[in-house]
Amino acid sequence: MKERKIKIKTENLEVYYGEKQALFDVNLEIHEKEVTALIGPSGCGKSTFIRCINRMNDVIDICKIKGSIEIDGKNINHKSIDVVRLREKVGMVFQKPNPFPKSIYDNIAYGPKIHGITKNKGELDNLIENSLRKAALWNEVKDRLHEPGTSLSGGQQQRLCIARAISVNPEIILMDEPCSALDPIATAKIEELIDELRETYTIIIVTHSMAQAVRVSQKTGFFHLGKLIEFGTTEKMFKNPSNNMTQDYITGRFG
Amino acid sequence: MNNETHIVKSYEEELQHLHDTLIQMGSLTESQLSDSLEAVIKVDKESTDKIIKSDEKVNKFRSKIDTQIMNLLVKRAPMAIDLRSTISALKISQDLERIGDLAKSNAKKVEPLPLDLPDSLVQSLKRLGDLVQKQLKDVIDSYVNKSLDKSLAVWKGDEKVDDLTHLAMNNVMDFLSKDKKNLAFSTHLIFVTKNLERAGDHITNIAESVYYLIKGEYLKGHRPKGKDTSV
Ligand SMILES: Nc1ncnc2c1ncn2[C@@H]1O[C@H](COP(=O)(O)OP(=O)(O)OP(=O)(O)O)[C@@H](O)[C@H]1O
Ligand SMILES: [Mg+2]
Repeated sequence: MKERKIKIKTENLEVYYGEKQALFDVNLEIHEKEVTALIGPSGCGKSTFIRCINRMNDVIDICKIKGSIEIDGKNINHKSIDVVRLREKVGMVFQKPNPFPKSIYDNIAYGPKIHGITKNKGELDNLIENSLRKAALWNEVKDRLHEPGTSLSGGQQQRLCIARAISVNPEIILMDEPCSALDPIATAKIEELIDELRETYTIIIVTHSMAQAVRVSQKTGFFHLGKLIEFGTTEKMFKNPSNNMTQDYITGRFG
Repeated sequence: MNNETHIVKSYEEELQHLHDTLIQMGSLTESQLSDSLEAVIKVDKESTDKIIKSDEKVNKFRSKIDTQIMNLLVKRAPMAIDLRSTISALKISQDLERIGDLAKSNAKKVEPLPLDLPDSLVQSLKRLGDLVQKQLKDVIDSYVNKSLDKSLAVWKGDEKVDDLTHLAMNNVMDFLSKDKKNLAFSTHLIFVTKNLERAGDHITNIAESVYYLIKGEYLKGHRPKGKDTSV
């Protein structure tokens, strides 16, 4: 497998919530158009880490960040960075599907309108259809685009959120336990979708299921108590991890 | 390798049970192999029935292990060391079953043998058989003790098995060339020799499985190869 270009790079990344340190010296390189899975016990800092990448932590007053995070070689915490542009580039999908209390159509139209991506209704319609197709939801909703997003099933809502994330042409998609509220079929659809999205986007997915990490990702990082303990190919990680702590965690031996 | 135990007790027990079953299968295979060798060396036609029947027990172990492994894979989706333990157990049990088959095949060859085989021929067969038995014992030890060195020693030891096979084969050929009447017996002895060599190859497979289980990497390099023994 050829090494792809580095898309995201963190150096000596440390995150504090007030006095409490949540991440310690995280050094990580994430390659373009790969799926990277982040695993680790509850509270180890996975969500904190991915929230750094689109600066979602900015909204938390007590949150302080040290070290550097680069996307395409540019420090995203630099003064010159426009956070709205950054979030356009780095989309996010959460654990619980969170459609806006609006129609399916408007859920997706919202982002492109803010970012001024489309010029007219025709273009917008096209974009919405495309986003829904990419999210493998079009066929299920094409006749009900003006019904509320919340009228969809959980799995459909999650795909709607993915459609919403991709409607603004991001380069990176962050997913924080996107399947934890979904049944196996809906989960399978999202996993299939992730596999297709990988052609176009760089994806980071937080998951509590090692089996899911194995199914969807090429690289895996294991966090423990705010430290990145091991990072490598997913295959190496599930067959023969280098670190005993990783092994204890993924085999269910954690004390 | 790993001293922590699983949070889920029944998972721990299932893995332990698989491990124990495989060791039982290993020791049964060991006695099958040594009984069949003894029967050949002593041309003991009385003992072979029992050996042939016991092969069923080896096969039963194999299907028991298959079932345990299927359950483990489905219930636990084993990872890392547990995955390697499970997969190695599957492979090792297959090799043990084949060694059992070869022991049975050798036991079947005893019936037509004459009681007065030349001593040198018997001795060369015994030397080969003893070595194969020792290899089997060692490889099972390497599994029990998770000893990388021992698995590697067994793997390398197959070269010696090939050499002794070559010698034994030469002796059989000598015997054959001495008297046309020996032809029928000799074919059987050729099979016995070949079967022992094949058992050696399965033991080498097991050594590779144990190595992978412990190290998480495949043994690199070409298999040790002694003198050519193809007939
Ligand atoms: N807004 C916040 N204010 C204060 N502390 C926080 C905040 N968010 C997270 N933390 C703390 O930071 C640490 C890391 O939390 P984080 O949510 O990143 O963990 P996680 O790995 O995503 O866990 P989970 O698997 O449960 O989602 C925890 O100790 C948590 O209590
Ligand atoms: Mg989280």
